[in-house]
Amino acid sequence: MAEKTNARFLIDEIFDKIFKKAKVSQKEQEQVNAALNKELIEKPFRVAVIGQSGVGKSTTLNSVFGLKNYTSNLAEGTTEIVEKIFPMRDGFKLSIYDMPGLNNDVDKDIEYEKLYKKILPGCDVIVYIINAHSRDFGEDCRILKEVVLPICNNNQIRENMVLAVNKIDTIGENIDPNDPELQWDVFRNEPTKKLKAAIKTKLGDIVDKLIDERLLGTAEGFAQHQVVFYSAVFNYNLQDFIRAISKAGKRGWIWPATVGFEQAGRWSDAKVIAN
Amino acid sequence: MTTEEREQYNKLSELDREEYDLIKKKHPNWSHSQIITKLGVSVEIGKRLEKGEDVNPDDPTVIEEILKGAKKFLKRCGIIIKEVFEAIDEVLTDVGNKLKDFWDWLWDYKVY
Repeated sequence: MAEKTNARFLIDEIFDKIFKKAKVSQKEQEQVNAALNKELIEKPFRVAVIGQSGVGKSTTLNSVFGLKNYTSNLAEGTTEIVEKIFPMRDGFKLSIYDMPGLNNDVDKDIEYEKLYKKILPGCDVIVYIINAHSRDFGEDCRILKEVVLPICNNNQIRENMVLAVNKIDTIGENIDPNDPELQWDVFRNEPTKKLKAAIKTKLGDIVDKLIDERLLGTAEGFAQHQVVFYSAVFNYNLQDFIRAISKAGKRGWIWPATVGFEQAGRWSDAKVIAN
Repeated sequence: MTTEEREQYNKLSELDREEYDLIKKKHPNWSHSQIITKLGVSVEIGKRLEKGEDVNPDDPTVIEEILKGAKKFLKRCGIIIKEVFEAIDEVLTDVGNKLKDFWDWLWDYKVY
């Protein structure tokens, strides 16, 4: 862990080092700092989170994006999504669009698709969450292929996407909910040996499905780093998620640049300030 | 298999080649890049499950992305200070060298 300094954000610390190396004038340093500061502070970092109810949108926002006690309150049939802006630290703001997942209801799906088309192009990161516990990913694959990826490809924002496979901790429940060896080891905060094997098999199946559907391993699908596996409830393997965000589109780097030296999930008392 | 794909295949370790062949047998319709992706993801899943990673802002991959992003942003703004860009490139090279051990496998066989 880096030593504590007076730097507000991680990027301030990084650029302090860059300036020392570069030996540039005070005026030039101020010019760079002012531009970076403006980019970080003036525009909120916009995140769209898409997923069926129960996939863990709220826990993901709480654990990955450092929101405390965020609760998804999407009403049934919601066809208007509001931007919720959360003040994070030192003037940096996080903006969340909590989006409903499509659900095989033709009329609603048309409305939701319109919402996706309207909102997604303005987002810095688009997180599509699927539930690792789920037995069937067919519908998610269809939505990704027929709706979400075409919107992203048409707007050249496919790089902004993260395909997030949540709830890997619950994979054992489908096999035998009564087997303690298939439950999460809460003391060590990691899967038991048996659960690890089950997770590996299940994730292997998910990857096979994504490849079969040409969502992974093809030029028109996701890149490997855009697919992440994690448990939001247990804060497990979140680093891959942070990496995927940092690589997302033109502004993904801004998220980790503002983290500072605390860990994600502990760095704000964010309360919603605008609807 | 094209010549390039064959070269990539030959670069795999014996164990990975065995795994490649197994995947190909199981999924005869998959292309080389699909098989390599499956292989790469499987390796990464194995690594992660052995040791789940806590959030670490000092992760060299993240630092690299911040630097690349900031550099592109400054360029877009028209703030082009040669010394700053050279220093960024130098740090990126350092970070890249550190990454090589960690991401060795992935770098070599990254498809996209």
